[in-house]
Amino acid sequence: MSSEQTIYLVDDDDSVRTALARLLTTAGYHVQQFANAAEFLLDDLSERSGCVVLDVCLPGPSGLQLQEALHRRKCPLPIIFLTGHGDIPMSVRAMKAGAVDFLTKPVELTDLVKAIETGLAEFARQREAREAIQSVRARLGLLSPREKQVLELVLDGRLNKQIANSLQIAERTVKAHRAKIMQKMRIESVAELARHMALIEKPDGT
Amino acid sequence: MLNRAGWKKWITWRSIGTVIVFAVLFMFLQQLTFLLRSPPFERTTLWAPGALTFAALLVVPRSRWWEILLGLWIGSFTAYYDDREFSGFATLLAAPVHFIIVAAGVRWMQMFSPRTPFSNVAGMVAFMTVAGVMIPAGTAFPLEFLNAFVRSPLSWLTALRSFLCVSLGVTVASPAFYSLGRLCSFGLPAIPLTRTIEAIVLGTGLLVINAFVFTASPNSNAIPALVYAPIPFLVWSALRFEAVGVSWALLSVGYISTWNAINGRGPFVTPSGDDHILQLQLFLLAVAIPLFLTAAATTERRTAYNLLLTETEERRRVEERFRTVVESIPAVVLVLNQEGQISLVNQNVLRLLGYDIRCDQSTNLSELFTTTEYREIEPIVSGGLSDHHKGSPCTLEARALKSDGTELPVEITFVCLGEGQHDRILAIILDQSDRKKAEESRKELLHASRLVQLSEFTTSIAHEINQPLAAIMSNAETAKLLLDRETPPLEELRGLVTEICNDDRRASEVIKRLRSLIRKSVPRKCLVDMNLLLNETQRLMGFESKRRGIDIQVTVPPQTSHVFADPVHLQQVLMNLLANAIDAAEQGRAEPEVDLMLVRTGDSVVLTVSDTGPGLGPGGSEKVFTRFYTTKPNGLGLGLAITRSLVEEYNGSITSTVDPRGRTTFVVTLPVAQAVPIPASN
Repeated sequence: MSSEQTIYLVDDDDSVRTALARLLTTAGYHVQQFANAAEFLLDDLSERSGCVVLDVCLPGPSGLQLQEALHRRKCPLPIIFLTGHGDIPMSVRAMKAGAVDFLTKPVELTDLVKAIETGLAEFARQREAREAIQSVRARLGLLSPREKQVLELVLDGRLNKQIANSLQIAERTVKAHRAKIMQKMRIESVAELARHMALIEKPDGT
Repeated sequence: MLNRAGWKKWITWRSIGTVIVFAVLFMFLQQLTFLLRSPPFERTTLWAPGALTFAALLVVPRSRWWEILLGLWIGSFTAYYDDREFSGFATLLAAPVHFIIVAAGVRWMQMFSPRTPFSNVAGMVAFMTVAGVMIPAGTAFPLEFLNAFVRSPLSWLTALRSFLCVSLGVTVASPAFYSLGRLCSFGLPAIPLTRTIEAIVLGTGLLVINAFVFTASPNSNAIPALVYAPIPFLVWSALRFEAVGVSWALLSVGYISTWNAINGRGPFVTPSGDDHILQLQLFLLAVAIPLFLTAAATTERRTAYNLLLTETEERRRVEERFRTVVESIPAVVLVLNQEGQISLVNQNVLRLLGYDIRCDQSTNLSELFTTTEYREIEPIVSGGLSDHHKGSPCTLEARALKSDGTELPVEITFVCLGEGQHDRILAIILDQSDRKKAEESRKELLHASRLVQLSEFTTSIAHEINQPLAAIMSNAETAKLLLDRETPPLEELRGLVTEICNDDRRASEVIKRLRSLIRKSVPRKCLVDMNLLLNETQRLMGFESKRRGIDIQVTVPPQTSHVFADPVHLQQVLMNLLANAIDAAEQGRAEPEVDLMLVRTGDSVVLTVSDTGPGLGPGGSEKVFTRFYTTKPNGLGLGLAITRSLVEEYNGSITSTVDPRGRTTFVVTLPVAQAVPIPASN
């Protein structure tokens, strides 16, 4: 568990929230408390890391509505739901929307910790992935426009000769561009390049 | 002016018949009277035609009296027109005077006995005054006076004898002729055989006695007191046949005695003479007075006795009817005195309680109840319903003791019959076991409806209980973690334990609130703080409304009001209305809202629950409170019916309206408990 990770606790019941916060603090987590959805949304979401423990029933927008809002804002924080009395449709809705877990009060520490650890791991994994994408993008940015053209043709599986033909340049020049690309992207093989490019072409549509 | 038809109306064959019959009868009687003329005055002894006029005017209605006058005129003129004593001219003038005086006499007498003549003592006295004095004076004197002008000069002695004969004639004969007149008008009444035989025996006896006494020849050994021999028969006639009987008896005695005396016979010492006639006349008059009075008194008593008999019979019938009514009442009906002694009871006592009570056995009311129960009833009975119950019925509930030893819930109503010290009391005992059963089933229904209501809020309730449990669990887990440390932080642990206690208390409060709703308890009235009730109910239902995205706005006055009621019942009312409002609001417009408002107005609190739902449907404002009417797909239609019965139990009212903006509003009005500063003990 990384020390900079925070548990964001959203529950309107003071005594429940305080008790949970105390428990999680004692268990060694860094905890931040919010009494309702609006309060939680006030701060800059991108600065946050960790996971959200969210009461389903909140005054104003409910827990499920907050989940949707976070999703729309592409907030990467994983969500663990807590409820005093959950029914099946409610839990199905939450899980489909990507919740880590749906726990019923009163919750055992081990269950809660397990869910939180899953959440934190998820967040860490997502962050790593995000960082990898960012580095690939940064390196791509270093390429000149001609190099990018060559890169795309390479990824299409064309041979040097074919690339030279389609770009109306000498085959030797193509080789020089390829070497430059390998150097700038800090990769050894075309296979590795393809794997990196696949990362940034993932579902998000970027 | 009377036209032809008018004359026809007055003069009918019947009128002409009456005139002729009266004239003939008058003339005949006059001739009969002439037989009784005696020297030296040559006046009759008993002038019966006057009685005929009198009786005729009694029988004939006043509108037809002119027929009598005409008949009288013709009859008297015909009788006297070649008379040796009276001139026809004098009688022609005297007849109307006679008629007027008789008519006046009849009218006067009728004032004293308006219905039937000769039937009461006062009427009889009037009759004897009229017949004995007025009519003779008004008849004899004018006739003698007028006659004096035409014939012989006036002799006062003759006039006096004339007076006497009229007096005797009218007095003695009128009732007899009246009875004949009635016979002609109304026919022969149904007379029992024994009475007919009695009349025949009386008549025969009287004739025999008359013949024996008055036909004897006068001699020195004669006994003048034999004149009194007919008296027993006369008294008999007075007692048994009353005025009419006396009249006929006296008429027979009068005619036979005077006729014999004129012809020189009778129980006299000296041979016949005018003295004897006068003596007989005076004797008959003297006897007639007490006899007629006795007869009238007898009639009076007989009438009164008959009236009494009729009334007794009527009373017996009324009592029988009362008895039938009492028997047909589907309750035990008793009449008792202040000691509780039963004097009347209907058969329901056997059917309902199993006792076979006979009224003559002097059973006491206390035998129908256990000793402890009767202790409450006894003061009401012995106090004659006491002062404050006087006149108005007093009702109480009790347990009657049946003959088989079991108890029966009953309602007794006491009504005081009459006033005074010896009041009798009417007690009506009604079987209440059915009502008790109905009450029980109503309680069951109430309880069931509460459970149904609660089951709709299980989510809400689970939430309410799970919240504090979650806090407890977290705090306990924290404590466990802290205890695992090498040096557990005691202060922090103590804080945690305190928190656990607080949350535990919170959970138990929720349960306590619920328990009162679930529990099947006897209604327990106390002062209910309405503000507190509103807030508590809103809390209980808050989660439910929040879960369904409906906002409940609660407005309560700063000063709380108290209502004297069972808090569980009031909470049920409120929960019902709120649950309905939430359901309705959910189906309504985009921003559903429920308003809960409490207002104090004068002596009552007004609770308003309104929602933004779709309304109550056409005519729903009235129908919603009837049983099994519902607008919900899964509703039973009992909620509002029960709500209303609860509100009305506390003398409150509930109405519903839908305003133009589409808000459905239920208004509950409850009376405020009068300034009792004791807080609700719930």
